[in-house]
Amino acid sequence: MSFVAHVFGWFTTAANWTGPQGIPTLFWHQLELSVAVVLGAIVLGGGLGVVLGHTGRGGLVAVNAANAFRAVPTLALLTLLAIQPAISLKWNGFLAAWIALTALAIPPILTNTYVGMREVDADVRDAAKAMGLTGGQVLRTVEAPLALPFVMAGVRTASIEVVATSTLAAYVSYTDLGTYVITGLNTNDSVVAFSGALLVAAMAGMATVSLSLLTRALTPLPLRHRGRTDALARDPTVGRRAATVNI
Amino acid sequence: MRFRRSLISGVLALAAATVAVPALTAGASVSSSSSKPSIVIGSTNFEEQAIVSNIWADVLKKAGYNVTVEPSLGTRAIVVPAIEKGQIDLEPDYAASLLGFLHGGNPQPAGDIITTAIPADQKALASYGVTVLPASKALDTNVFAVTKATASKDHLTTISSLKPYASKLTLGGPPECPTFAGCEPGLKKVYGLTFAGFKSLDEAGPLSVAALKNGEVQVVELFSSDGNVVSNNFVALTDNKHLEGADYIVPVIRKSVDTSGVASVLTGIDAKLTTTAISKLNLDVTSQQEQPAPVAQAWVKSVDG
Repeated sequence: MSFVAHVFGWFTTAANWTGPQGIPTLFWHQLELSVAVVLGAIVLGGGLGVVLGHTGRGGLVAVNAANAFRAVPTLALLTLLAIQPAISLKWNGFLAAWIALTALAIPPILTNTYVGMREVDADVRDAAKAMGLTGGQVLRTVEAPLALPFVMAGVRTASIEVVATSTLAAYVSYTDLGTYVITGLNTNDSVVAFSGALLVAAMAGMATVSLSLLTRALTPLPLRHRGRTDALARDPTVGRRAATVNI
Repeated sequence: MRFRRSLISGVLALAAATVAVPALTAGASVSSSSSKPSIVIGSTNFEEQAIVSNIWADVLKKAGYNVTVEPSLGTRAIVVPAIEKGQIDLEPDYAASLLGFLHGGNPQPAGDIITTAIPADQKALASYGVTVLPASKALDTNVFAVTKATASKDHLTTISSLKPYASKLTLGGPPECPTFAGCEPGLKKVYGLTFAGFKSLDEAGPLSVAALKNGEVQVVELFSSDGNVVSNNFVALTDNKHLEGADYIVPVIRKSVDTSGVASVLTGIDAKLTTTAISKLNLDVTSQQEQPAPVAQAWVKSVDG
């Protein structure tokens, strides 16, 4: 039987879909961890990015510090946390995994939020102030909507990194799709390892698609047709001509 | 541990086939003029085997043999061909894992019990002029451990004795335990044990030790001889139905140096080399950062005068 057939056989085995080691359980565990990590990173990294971007002070230092932090290997951090008695084994390994992965997810979100905030046209910001908007109002109604596409790009990058890397959590007693990968590697069963990797890839794909849709939904209407549709938007005759043909 | 090591050996087998061990040929080709043969002991780069190599070297030197130790030759995939070709004369190995290695990396049923493992090893090595001497008392394999408190409360000594309690106990082990034949499925099939639950931990590492210590699990898979069992005062339950391979440390020796004198020296010291003894020596090397040779020397002095 070919390798592909073995993998297909694994996915169609009923026993792999039930119980504490079944696909739904482990998929759910990974999703839970990934969502908790990304939410945590949005609050921490995004929050800091907003403050730094809004005030415009100390941002470069913070962003560079966060980026330097990207060099810390997640596996090393996980192992370090896993042997701390206060963190080790807490909530079935969730805590250690959450801290290590949040540290991984903060830099892209922080950087993108900061850059997004700084990219807001100074004239627009000044105009808003001139109209008498307070600092908070400027942030909410002008800066946040304009920075949103940048922020969401950071969230998407972070999410894919987190979904892919959370397989490491299986090394610190958390059970998720990484359990399949580790089991496969430790028992020389490449079918199980590959099937686990396929599931991780599927989740990463799901994350990209759903975050793209979310970004679109959150982006204010006037900003939505930038990019590829710019040319069309600028040339009003194109749409009109098409409409005429349709009638 | 055995299992993973044999995997690595398998991966390296191809590389090993092309790797010569030129440094050794000189030592091995020296034939002794006296009645006592010169012996070259080779070892993989696993600390435990390095310690045992040095122990044997020490006692053989004391008995008047001319001994050279070639440490850290690499994996089993290098050391076993080296002894088959006569580049080394003696190496410490593990009865069941060696048998699996000699059969293309496939674990053999004969390896489950030491009394069948050694004859099977001898048979597989006979055509190379290599044989295997009786086993030491040191076993390096996966064991299921409980705390001393649990063991004395429920009178636990063997894995079988867990039977009445298993349904109330949580088992801990590496992530692959629920599907790996030597772990949870084996405990169910061979011993009829069904646990209250399973908790995924690590490969007999700090998480496993911590989880057993603080009571998150009551039974945990560890390695018999890496020192975790001894240093934490855990009780390793006897594998009375032979779920795991009989990985006792055995002398693998070329018949040309297997004189009655050499054999009696080796079996004499091996009778004192217990799992507990080697665990303590392993601890000295791995956590005290000591070198295998002085650790071995000190131990031989303590047991052999």
